Amino acid sequence: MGAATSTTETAPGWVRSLADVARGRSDLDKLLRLHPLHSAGEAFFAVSLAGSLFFNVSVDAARPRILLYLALTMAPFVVLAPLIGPLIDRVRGGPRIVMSATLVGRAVLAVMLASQLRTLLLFPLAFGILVLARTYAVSRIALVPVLVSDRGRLVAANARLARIGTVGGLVGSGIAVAILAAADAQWVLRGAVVVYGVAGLTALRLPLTTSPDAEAPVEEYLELHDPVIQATTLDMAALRAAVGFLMFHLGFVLKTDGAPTWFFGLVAGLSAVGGFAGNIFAPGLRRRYREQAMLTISLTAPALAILVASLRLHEITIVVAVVVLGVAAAVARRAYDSVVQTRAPHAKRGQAYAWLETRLELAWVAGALVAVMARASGWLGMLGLAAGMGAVAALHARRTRTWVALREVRRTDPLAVRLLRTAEQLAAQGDVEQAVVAAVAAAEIASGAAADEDVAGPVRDLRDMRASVLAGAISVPQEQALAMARQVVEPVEVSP
Amino acid sequence: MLGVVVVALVLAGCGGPSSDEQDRDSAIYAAMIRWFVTTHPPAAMQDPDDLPTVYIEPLGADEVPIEIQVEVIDLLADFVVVRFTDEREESVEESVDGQPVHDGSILIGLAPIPTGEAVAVRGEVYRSADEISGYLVTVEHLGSGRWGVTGTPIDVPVEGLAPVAD
Repeated sequence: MGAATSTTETAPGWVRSLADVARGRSDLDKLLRLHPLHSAGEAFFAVSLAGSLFFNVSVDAARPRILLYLALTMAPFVVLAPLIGPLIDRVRGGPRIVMSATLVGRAVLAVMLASQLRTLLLFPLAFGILVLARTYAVSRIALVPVLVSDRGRLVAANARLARIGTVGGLVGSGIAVAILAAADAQWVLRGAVVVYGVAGLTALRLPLTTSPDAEAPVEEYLELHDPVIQATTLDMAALRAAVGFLMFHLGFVLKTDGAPTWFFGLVAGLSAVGGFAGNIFAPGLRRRYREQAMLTISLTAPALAILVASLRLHEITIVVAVVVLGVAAAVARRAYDSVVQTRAPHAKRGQAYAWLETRLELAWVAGALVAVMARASGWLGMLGLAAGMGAVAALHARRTRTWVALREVRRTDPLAVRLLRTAEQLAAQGDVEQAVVAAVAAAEIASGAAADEDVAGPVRDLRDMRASVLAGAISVPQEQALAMARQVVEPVEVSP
Repeated sequence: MLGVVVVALVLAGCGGPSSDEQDRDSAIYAAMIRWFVTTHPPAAMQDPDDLPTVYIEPLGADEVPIEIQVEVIDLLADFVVVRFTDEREESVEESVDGQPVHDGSILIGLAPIPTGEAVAVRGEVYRSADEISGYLVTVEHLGSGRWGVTGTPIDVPVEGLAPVAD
């Protein structure tokens, strides 16, 4: 025993890390033990679809059903999102219940699916598994901040989970493909039942935690509604939507082009490899670049790769686009987690993370829905996706420039001038309410400094506008407010 | 959100055949495919345990409803692997000389089925751009829900499965 301990202590870091996970020393280790099992189960399920009806029926005939079940996939998130967070935060053992239920539920559905791969029940059962997998994802993201006591380790913990999950998925894929080659898709699904079952039991060993604050602190609410977090969530949602779109678009395109089933597997596998590579590269990128720059790269690189694929649609360009998007989604995730960790230090509760993750999951489904509804030809769909991602990247770059400009407001300028510049930048990024409030504050300070009766009128008008904003007025003349504030502030600016 | 669900439900729900019609049409198509595969056999598979895949394309504007596709696939599961297609490139190697069907197999075109106890249904079979035939196949109800090809199919000009222009 002593010898074993000594061997572990002298082993490389990653071996010690794996040994810790195997022993389940920390609360996070217990989740790290569960997550690869979940990913392996997902891989088994995905591989089993190779033997399903999907490859035998025509896409156009199957499309209304896929559309139906994808649309229905959205519904549970709307209902479940407000339930999962509180369950994780308030109920002792809530995470165990939710995560174990999603895994056991998938085991049950996989049992049923094993005998229905060649019937139309394939669609509801497969989408049922999809819903439970997405619910698990929301629960996992919500659970991590509860398990990680040191707030500064949250990003690293999520990255570690992503890496170990990808390894689990790749190992699971290998085993599942071997089973498919030796037997058939039904046996692959029976394998999935075992993996999901074991994962469901493993989930029951998750710690009995509750969040320190069951009620949302005001700071958390304000931080999560910070324009930077909101905008970054939109960027991340766009990437998730792109992943959902590309998955379904390529599914249709490759089938229509008569691509062999193994090529679907290759594309899915390389997407996972891309995600793994992204998780490996992300820390290095993070040391070199700010989060927003990482997001710019993550939005631009796949847009370009997809554009190339649309202009020259070929197996190789498709594979490159899928890998680049996989890498980008993983890098962006790391940047996103970092933004949330930095800008929302009071967000400790699972509910907060469940709320953010649900939006990302919905974006994935929305992207998939667009692909199914549009049923565009291969190149056109890819071109549309590249254009969409390019537009998001351009908006992101514009916002980032605004934030940089905000940071660059000269500290030596009078406070009124700085507030006015801030108001202008806020207006430029579309935050009307904050822009008007900042403009009024600038004018009030400037009017005090100027002690000028001439500015009393504009300041009074500006105060009325602020009152309208605070009362929730829908239409606020922000340009007029800024012009009036300039009128009051700028004489101060030029004065010695 | 609710709107999307409603639209999807409407799209998914409309146009499906009734169960009896579905069984009848599936049995007729299965009988025709069996006849085509017997008279125009696909190349043998490398592994003799594997069944050959034959490709099916609708003749005419309407696609074969998914319920019928599933039933046809099931009825022929022990005989041949049936794959319904949307585009010609799914079944035919368009960039290869002679535009053959994948793996030496055949593409079968099936026209809509008229009503009646004995029906004449147009069917076409494509092996390559040089080997396409059209038939009017008579399929009769043999009792107990079984349908079979009777008589000798009549040769007709090829219409739906004409080769794709270069």
